[in-house]
This record gives sequence, structure tokens and C-alpha cells, in this order.
Amino acid sequence: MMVWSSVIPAFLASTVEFVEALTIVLVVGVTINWKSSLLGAAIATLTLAALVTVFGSTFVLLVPIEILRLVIGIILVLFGMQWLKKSVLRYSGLKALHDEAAIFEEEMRQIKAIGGIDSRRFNKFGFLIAYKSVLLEGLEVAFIVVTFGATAAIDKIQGVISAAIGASLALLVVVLLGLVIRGPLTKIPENTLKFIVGIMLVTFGTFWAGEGLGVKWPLQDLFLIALAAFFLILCAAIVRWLKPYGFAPKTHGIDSGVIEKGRMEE
Amino acid sequence: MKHIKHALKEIFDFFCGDWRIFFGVAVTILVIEVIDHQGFLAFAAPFAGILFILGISLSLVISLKHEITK
Repeated sequence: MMVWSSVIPAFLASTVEFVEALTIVLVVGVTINWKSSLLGAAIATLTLAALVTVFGSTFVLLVPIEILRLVIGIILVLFGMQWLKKSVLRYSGLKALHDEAAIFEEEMRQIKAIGGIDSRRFNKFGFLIAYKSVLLEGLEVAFIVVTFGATAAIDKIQGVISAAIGASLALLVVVLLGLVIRGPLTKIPENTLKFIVGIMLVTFGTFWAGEGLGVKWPLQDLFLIALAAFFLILCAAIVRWLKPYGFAPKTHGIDSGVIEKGRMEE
Repeated sequence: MKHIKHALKEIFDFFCGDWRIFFGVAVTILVIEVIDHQGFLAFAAPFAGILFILGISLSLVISLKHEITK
């Protein structure tokens, strides 16, 4: 049976992260060559799958659900706050909106500036950029898959499998869209998705950590809806409060700086 | 030592990345734990949930307030 509280957060978070990774994979494919780019992406995906398997099975087999909920709840609150804080800053204009088209252009410019690339041969630099970007973006996905999967349901194995299905589905959707569009996925509302994921992470984290600390939530699991509504209203109020201080440009390119880092280490 | 520091910072940045949020959540958890385990604070136990949510919310607000004063 599918555990929807694992599938949905994993799917949404993965969509956001895979869209960001796809942009870099596309840049490397277009400017260097597809062989290096796709190989880097494929090996990074295998690395992530191995991480999920190792950490997922460790949590499932060794840690009791009560301890998991407390520890993972606290970590999810901290982790989710990052997503929520960035989203609130973006909506209030204190941080530039994420723009895949701008990132695509900027990363392409950086690779072209390096020059001397033989596009017919396997390129180690291109491979490393694709590998790193997919791995770095995917680490957050792996974390969400393992934590939500192992904690959302009493049957932890089913939970992890459900979360992994959510993430795989997101990967499939992003790859298919990438193949059809052959460009960065600018139409996917990344900023909104990030905000929704932030709300979900903080909501589930608060609920599980509270349970672990001995808090008796009213209405049991239904209280999750009230919590989500509370954080939604809180964020709306914060955005209203912060808006007069907003000054960031409407869109912004580079957040990750993957190529710059790759160049330095090459 | 430098590498260990760097690795710890990377881990912190991955999971949280903001000391204000970290300390806010830590203090909130501490308060809830004290309420749960100290008999003289038992009167506050029914409000533990509300306090927990408030503590988390305040951590976010304080962190964001810092962003506008930077």
C-alpha cells in the first residue's frame, strides 16, 4: 500500500531539485558533449540510490519508530526552516527569485569562457560538473526520501519504498520534460514548489518532534492540516511584514556555482 | 582540525545553516523537556504543544528579522 505522506513530499522536493540538476546537465550536454554529461548524471543517480539504500535500511532495521520520529522530526524542522526561510525571503523581495533560464545562460557562458574543449571526446571536467550538480541537488532528495519514508508510516519499509517511488516519479517527469523541451524547465513553478515543500517539512517535523517530546496533539493525524494552515498563515504574515524591505532584482541566476567550483578543482 | 571544522560546517549548513534557528529550536525543545519532566511545571503540560509551535515560529521570525537588519 502506498504511503502518501511519504510520496507527496518526496515527489515535490525531488521535482525542484531535479529541475535544478537538469539545467546543469543540459548546459554540459550542449556546451561540452552529451556523453560526459549523461554519464556524470547517471553515476550520480546510482550514488544517490546507494545512499538511500544504505541509510534507509539502517533506519528501518536498527532504529525504533519512536526515536526516529523525535530525531527526524527535529532535523526536519531545522531542514524545512531553510526552505521556508529562503521562500519567504524570495516572496518578500529580499532574495532574488530562482530563474532556470538565467542559470542556464550564466553556466553556459562560464563553460564557453574556459575554451579548448573537444566536443567529440569524453570530457572529465564536463563529467564532474554533471556528477556534482546531480549529487548535490540529489542529496536533499535522498535525505527527504529516507527521513519521510522511515518515519511517515508504522511499516517503515513501505514508507521508504513509497518515498523512493515519489522521487523516481519526479525524476521520470523531469527527464521526460527535459527530452521534450530540450531546454531548462522554466515553466515549472520552482519557487512555489520550494515554499510548499518547506511548509510540509516544517509541518511534519513539528508534529513528529512534538510527539517524540510527549506532546499530545489534538485530533491526532488530522492536526497536521491545522499545523500546515498555521505555518501557511504565519508565512503570509511574515511576507507582508518583510515586503517593504524587499529590494532584490526580480530574477537571479547562479545559486549553486557548480561550474565555478568544478573549475577550481579541475 | 581545519578539515574537521570545515566538514562540521558543511554538515551544519546542509541540515540547518542558521544559528538563530538552531538555537531557537534547541531552546524550545529544552523548555518542552523541562515541562515534561519537572513536576512543578506540570500545570504547563497542556500548553506544551502551543509552546512548541510558538518556539519554532519565533525562531523563524527572529532569523528573518536579522535578514532585514543586516
